[in-house]
Amino acid sequence: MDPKHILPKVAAGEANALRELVEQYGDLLWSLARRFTRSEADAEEAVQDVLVYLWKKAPKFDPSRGEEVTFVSVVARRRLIDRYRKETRHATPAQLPEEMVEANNGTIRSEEAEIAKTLFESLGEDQKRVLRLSIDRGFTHEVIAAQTGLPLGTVKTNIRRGLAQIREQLIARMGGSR
Amino acid sequence: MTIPSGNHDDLHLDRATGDAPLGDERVVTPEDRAAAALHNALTPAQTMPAPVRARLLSLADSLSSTDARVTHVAHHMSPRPSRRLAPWLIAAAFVLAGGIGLWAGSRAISSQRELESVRMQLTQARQQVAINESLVAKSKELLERQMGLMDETSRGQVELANQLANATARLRDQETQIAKASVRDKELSEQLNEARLTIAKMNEPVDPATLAQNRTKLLTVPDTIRVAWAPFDLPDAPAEQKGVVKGDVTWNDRLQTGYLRFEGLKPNDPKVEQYQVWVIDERGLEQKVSGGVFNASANGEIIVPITPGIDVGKVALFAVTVEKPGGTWVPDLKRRVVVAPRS
Repeated sequence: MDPKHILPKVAAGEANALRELVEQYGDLLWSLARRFTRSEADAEEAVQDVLVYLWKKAPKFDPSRGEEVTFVSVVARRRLIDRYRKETRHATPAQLPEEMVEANNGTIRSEEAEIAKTLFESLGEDQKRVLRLSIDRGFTHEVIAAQTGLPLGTVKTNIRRGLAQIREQLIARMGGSR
Repeated sequence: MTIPSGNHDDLHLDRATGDAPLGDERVVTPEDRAAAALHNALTPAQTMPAPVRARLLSLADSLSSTDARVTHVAHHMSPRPSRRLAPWLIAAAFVLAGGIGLWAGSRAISSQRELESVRMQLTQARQQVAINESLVAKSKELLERQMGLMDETSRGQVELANQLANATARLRDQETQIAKASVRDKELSEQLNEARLTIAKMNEPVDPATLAQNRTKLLTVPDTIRVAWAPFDLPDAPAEQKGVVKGDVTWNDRLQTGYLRFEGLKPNDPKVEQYQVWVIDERGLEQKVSGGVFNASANGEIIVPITPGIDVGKVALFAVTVEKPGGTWVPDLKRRVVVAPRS
């Protein structure tokens, strides 16, 4: 067990492991949650929800299939998207502004994030836009199509192709398999 | 680099962006990984506010103190917990954490509505705890009362069992005593009968009618013999005795009792002489025992009880002689009257 990995310790029920997880990934969770919620109170509830979920999912972490920080993000995304989609189910695209936030303090740092970022930057503007709306904002393909005026099929293809490229890069450079 | 395409691949890609329903929620796919990595790369880094972090750490501590296995089982049974469960878990966790720093950063919750909501949940959780504690206390009280009753009942049962055992022991005692008394009663009864017989024998009546009755009774007893008198066959026998005396002897070896009956026996003068009866057993004439002396006072029927001084065994012969008053120990048999030989 790699000592820098916290999730296996959480899975083993080690004392203070979950506390360590909060110390290590609290800011990541907060950053992700803040982008998917309208208030800090909502974000706090979401983060607490995600922590419980992480606590249960910890045994599923496999270091050979990606970084721990990415796994935490996967778990958090599932919960955050689920919450967000329920809240915005009846919202119109006009009520969901694109809100491109500049990362003044930088973004969340990790090797896999760097790889993803590099590949993302190599994409065309339209593809970057739909990927950002899908991943960063959590919009559905339909909302993105309505928002951008692009055909739904184009939206889908751009998003899928971009993600697939990142996937292949991650596997090629960080290990793991499809 | 080849990029696989097709419906299956698209499905995983769409799941990663939340655009297709999740399949097996436990599986983290490479597409999830790609989406998460990009998400991290695009998300502006923010610092979690200290109060939020404090509460999250408090929740982490609460979760760590919970049995993870139980929770995992519970989760497995309900793979998609309802969203309403989380606030309850959090509220319960806060209560468990002991409220240390619980409200320290409550001001950080910007929305008054959220604050009220959490407060209400906390209050409800506290109320539930109070209700549970009260229920537990009541249950304990009931249990103790029940145990007290059971204790009392079992004590009563033990006492009753003891009383029953004592009563049974007394009953057995009394039965034994009754049995002993009954045996003693029988013994006493037998002794009384023997005593009565002894008294009866000692008070042997001299009344001729009674003697006759007793002799008749003896005749009904088994093994009683009856032998008729015969004259002495000695040549020098007094002529007046020959063929005159009639009668018999009744005798019972077992009872050592008998009666002489005479007819025609000459009355004697007790001052001059008396009749004496001799009991001779089968060993011969030398073994003669005095059966007592008697007088013949009337010329009619005389019945005389035989009372031998010692046990005479099996009688062979009865003889009556005339002796000096009071009788003699050693008869000369010269003045023999009658004999009755056993046949």
